[in-house]
Amino acid sequence: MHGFGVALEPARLLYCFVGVLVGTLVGILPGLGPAATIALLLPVTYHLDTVSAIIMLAGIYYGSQYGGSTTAILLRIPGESSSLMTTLDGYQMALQGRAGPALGMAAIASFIAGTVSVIGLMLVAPQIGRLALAFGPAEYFSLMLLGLTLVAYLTGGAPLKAVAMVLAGLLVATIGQDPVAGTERYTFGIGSLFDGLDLVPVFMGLFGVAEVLATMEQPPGEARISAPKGLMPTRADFRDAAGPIARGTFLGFWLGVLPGGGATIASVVSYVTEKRFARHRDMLGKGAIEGVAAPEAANNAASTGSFIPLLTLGIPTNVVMAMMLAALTLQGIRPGPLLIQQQPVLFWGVVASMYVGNLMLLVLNLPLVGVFVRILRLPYTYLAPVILLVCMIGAYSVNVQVTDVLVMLVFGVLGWAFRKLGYDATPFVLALILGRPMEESLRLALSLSQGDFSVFVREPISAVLLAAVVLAAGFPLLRGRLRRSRG
Amino acid sequence: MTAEASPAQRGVGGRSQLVAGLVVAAIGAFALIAGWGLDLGALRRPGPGFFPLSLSVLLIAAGIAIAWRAAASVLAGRGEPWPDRAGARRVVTMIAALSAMTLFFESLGFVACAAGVTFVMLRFVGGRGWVTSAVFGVVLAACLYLMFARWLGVDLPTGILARM
Repeated sequence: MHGFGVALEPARLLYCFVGVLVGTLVGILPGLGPAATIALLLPVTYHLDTVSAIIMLAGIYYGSQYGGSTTAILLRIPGESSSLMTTLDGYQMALQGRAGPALGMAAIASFIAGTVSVIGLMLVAPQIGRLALAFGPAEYFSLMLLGLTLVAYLTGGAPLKAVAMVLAGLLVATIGQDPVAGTERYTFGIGSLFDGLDLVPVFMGLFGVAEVLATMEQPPGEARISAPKGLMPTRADFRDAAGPIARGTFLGFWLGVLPGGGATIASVVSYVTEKRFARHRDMLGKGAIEGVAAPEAANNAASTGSFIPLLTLGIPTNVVMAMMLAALTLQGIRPGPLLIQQQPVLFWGVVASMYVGNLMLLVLNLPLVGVFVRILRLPYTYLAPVILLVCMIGAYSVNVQVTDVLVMLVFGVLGWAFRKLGYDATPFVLALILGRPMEESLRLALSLSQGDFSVFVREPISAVLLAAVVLAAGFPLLRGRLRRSRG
Repeated sequence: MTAEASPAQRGVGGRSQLVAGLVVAAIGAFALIAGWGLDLGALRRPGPGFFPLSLSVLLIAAGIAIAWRAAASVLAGRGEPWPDRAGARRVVTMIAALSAMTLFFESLGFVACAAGVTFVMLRFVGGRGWVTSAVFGVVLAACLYLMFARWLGVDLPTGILARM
């Protein structure tokens, strides 16, 4: 309850509002995702107090899940990858003249799922935090290894490429002083590499600049849409959507907690689940309300759930959480099992702000759909230089160094090439952020055990985690074998 | 989804994938050579070289595996197709403009560089008119400077504006 006192202070309410509003906008605008936006705003958060900064950034994340559904329904363009499934039935509903109820249901499903999963977060996070107190370096190493393995296999694309990206990310993380002995590694005598690569320019390059390059590569096009009328779904719609919302929320929440999970996978899994269980399962894909309610509930629940591993273990499970970790680190906070006890104002304040933010989104989204549609008509040509320049300012302002701008540019071009070649940047970024703690815990675990590798399997928690790594890595290989032998 | 995949589904083709695999392996090899002098340490006391050098070896292996599978065309390219001629020109123009901005960021200052990049983006990439591009460039650069440098206190280089 104390958290609400924190979240309801006028200044905090304002940052929460700014966060969900910006989040909704970037959710609507294709080509600017929550990850890039949070990277853009990281420099701004230097000037804020920690609680306000995290409240605002969290608002951007769950706000973008609301906004992404608007373009998915009206234009069949997913503003975010997590609203891809919503395009299937949402756009069909729009073609049938039911765009309004589809938008209304998306907002209502998001609100219910968002609120329920915040309660889940309150109940589950402290438990995991308590469990994690027993973690030593061996457990942490195995946990991070499991996280990276799941990310590599779940984010889509060829697993081999994802593994290469994880290895490359871990390797790039070793640039700079070695965390134990302080030896210089891969600095080539360049002073600004001494402390390693700064994360902000790398993020901005991979997600901001690369996105602009890829979008502007296409010849400019114009979108024509009109604002829908009448947003309230019918009574029958609500009856049909109740089950999908409940299932979507449950699945989404737990998939959000899982490393490599997150909003996109949650929406896909919930849609596939509805194909089995929904009342009108044969209508799915032809404009069924269930096809909007389930994935929208799931992606919101997942975005809340993914805060759990970040806040209790200090391990980000997707790119947006990696940005959050960067923001917390900038503020001098290292999230871990003690966070809830040591920073109760931060934890409960952010949790309470999520209730408030979800309410704001519901109030904000329904009446403002017409305005958002007008924003969509803004040509990307004018938006692109704004994104690029804000990226440049952000990268430069980290250390007031042009080398950081250069780093951003290099990773921008790399990110563009990654997209072309089908290499996902997500495993790279997570490996980059987990590289140092992973190396530290590996080396610490080995020196504590006197060089005995069996410590990773003798400690029960670590052994279970490693068994999960083997299962996660082995399962797709096995499935591929089976499929090939059958075909 | 293997060899039978249609060109549209394949995105970037097998040869690019093969080269990409070799590049991955080459990065691993570079890291191995560049980090050769680092102390590996012993198992009971792993040194600074332990983590990067084992990663280099694994990365070489992954790169070779990718190249191998691309050569055997098992690895369906799930990326996007390379741009056509006009698209490639647009991408190269943007990269050139950004590189120039990075090079002259401190000597010319933020406002001049930002106006220039915006102008190039609108005129030569977005295909807008000369006047529109120039006006939007100057206005955007000025707005961003006021917002970030004056209001948020970000330390941006003033460059030639300060000397005038």
